[in-house]
Amino acid sequence: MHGSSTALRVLATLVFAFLLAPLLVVVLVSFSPTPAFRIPTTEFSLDWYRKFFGMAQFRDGLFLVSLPVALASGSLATLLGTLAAVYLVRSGLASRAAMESFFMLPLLIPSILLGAALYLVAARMGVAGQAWTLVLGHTLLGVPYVIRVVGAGLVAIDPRLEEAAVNLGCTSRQAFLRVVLPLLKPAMFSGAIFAFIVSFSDVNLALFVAGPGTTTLPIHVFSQIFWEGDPTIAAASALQILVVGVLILTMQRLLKLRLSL
Amino acid sequence: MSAIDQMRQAVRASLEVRGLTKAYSSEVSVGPISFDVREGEFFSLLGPSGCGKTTTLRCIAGFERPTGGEILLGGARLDTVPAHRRDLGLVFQSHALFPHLTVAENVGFGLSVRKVEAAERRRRVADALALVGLADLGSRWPQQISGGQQQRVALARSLVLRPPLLLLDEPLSSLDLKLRQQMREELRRLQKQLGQTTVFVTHDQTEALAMSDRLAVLSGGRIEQIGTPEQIYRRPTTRFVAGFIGQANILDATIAVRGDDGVAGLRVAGPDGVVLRVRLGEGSGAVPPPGSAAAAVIRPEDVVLGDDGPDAENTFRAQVRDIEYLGEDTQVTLEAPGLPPLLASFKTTRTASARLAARGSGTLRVRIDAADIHLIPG
Ligand SMILES: Nc1ncnc2c1ncn2[C@@H]1O[C@H](COP(=O)(O)OP(=O)(O)OP(=O)(O)O)[C@@H](O)[C@H]1O
Ligand SMILES: [Mg+2]
Repeated sequence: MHGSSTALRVLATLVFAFLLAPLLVVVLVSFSPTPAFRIPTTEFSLDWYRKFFGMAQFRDGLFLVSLPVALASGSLATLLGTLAAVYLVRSGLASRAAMESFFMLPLLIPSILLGAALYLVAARMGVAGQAWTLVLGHTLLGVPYVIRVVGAGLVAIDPRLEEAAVNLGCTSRQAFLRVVLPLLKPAMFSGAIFAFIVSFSDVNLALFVAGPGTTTLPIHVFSQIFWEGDPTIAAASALQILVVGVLILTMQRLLKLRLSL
Repeated sequence: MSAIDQMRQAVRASLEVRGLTKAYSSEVSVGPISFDVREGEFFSLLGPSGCGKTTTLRCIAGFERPTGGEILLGGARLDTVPAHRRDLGLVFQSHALFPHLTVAENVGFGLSVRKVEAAERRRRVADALALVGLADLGSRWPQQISGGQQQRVALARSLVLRPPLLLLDEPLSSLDLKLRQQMREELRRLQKQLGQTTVFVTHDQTEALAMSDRLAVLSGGRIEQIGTPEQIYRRPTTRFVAGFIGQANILDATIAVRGDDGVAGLRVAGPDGVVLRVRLGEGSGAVPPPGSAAAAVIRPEDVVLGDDGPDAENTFRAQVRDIEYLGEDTQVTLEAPGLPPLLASFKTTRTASARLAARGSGTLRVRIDAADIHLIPG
């Protein structure tokens, strides 16, 4: 018993190391002073960050495309996903299990296929490469995450609370707005963060749908690897890791908050 | 004006439930149930799990649509009013406090829904919190107060609206024993002070007997008996009530002789069954004709042990089969010829214990007063 749990712990540590090592390498490289991707290094420099912010394509890719698109598609996915979750849970249409597995499907379909399909539609309509096409595509990617998180949050709210509100004079709509929605906020925030991250780190879909003016940061990094490849892309990736990491920590805090209620 | 006087302006109302039924499926249904609750009365629905107490309460509150029957509040139809306009107080077992609101905000919730102006709201919330003894906890979160305090907040949240009728669904059963007893007294005192018409649901007979003006005993979706706690305990009308409330010896028998003034001879079933003398009191109905089946209900505390008086009615010699010390009470199982095993109980006093010990291995004299034998249909 004890032996197997030790073995399990070792295995878990290895898996974590395996998952985290690439991230660690990227971060270390981004701070190295030489253009060669060489670690270990004892020196420290911010050269590549300086270069990153000096290059318009990177800067704009981050501030004018990736972040706004992620914000827009994250918000849109949260709105649509929440509405869908409320409808699904409240109508009793879908059992919890059925809902979970159905909305796993988009997560299992390779997003590169979704990208190709979206491209075909957008090209036929003549709207390929436009920013909102990208927003729409990313919304599509984000909605299942939101539905899952918000659906679970909704199921966890004691139905007696809504009854108590109705007993105290609320119509069912008022009860929803005054009691359910505030309690759902942490789940909605978590869903929004999921959707934001999905959009912010997507390559597959953007590869098809992004146009000249809407090249996201991951796409820039992707093409840089082919064309020049110096540690600027490591700096770009490290910045992405920072954004995503902060968001994940925020989400964890939110989820913990909700559990403690 | 004190908080109590303020809150006493509550509209009092009587409740009438007429032939209420609720069918969940062809197998499971509750009712028909009929009962009246008078103005200012504390009325309990008592019964085992699944007998339909919560269903009845939810029909009154408007969360369950009755299949049949009607409900009247102060003489006006209630069952056609939507739940959010019934203005009834309701307290759940789980408290159901809003976790995203402070204690004061919870209590003020109904007032804010009714758009009561802020100053007035604050005053009434403070009054309601003072009423339940939580004046200082308004700014706490529900997670930061104890279970008993949460229960009081839930009560204040309902009472602040001065409801004509307060519905309580096992509000004390999530509390531990000590706190439950304390809350029981507090709730009852508050209810009396406010003259609050109250329907209280519980499966705990001690609770129901201790708190109620009157109670209804339910079983299998039907009402078995309605009465004051004393009537329910001393004069059960059905076998179920006799067995469910407290402990009882229920002896199958037939009426052997019928005398005047509710006096009768009762032959206990079984070979060589003895004849017990019965004297029915006021309000116990008439003795059925000789030959009809009846059952005798005898409370264990009415079986008197080791009585040295002259041989009076219903006196036997019995063997002690089993002794169980329950602390305050001692319970003894007796065996006497012509009678089924009989349960007797007495206060565990020094003299009583000594008397029981003094019997040695011999028999004990046992007496049952004819007026302590109660008849129910056989
Ligand atoms: N929503 C429902 N759907 C189907 N059957 C139900 C539903 N609610 C209650 N019942 C059934 O109706 C009967 C009465 O239930 P109810 O909840 O009123 O009992 P209760 O007296 O409150 O019991 P307890 O003491 O366990 O709370 C039970 O047989 C129960 O299974
Ligand atoms: Mg119940």
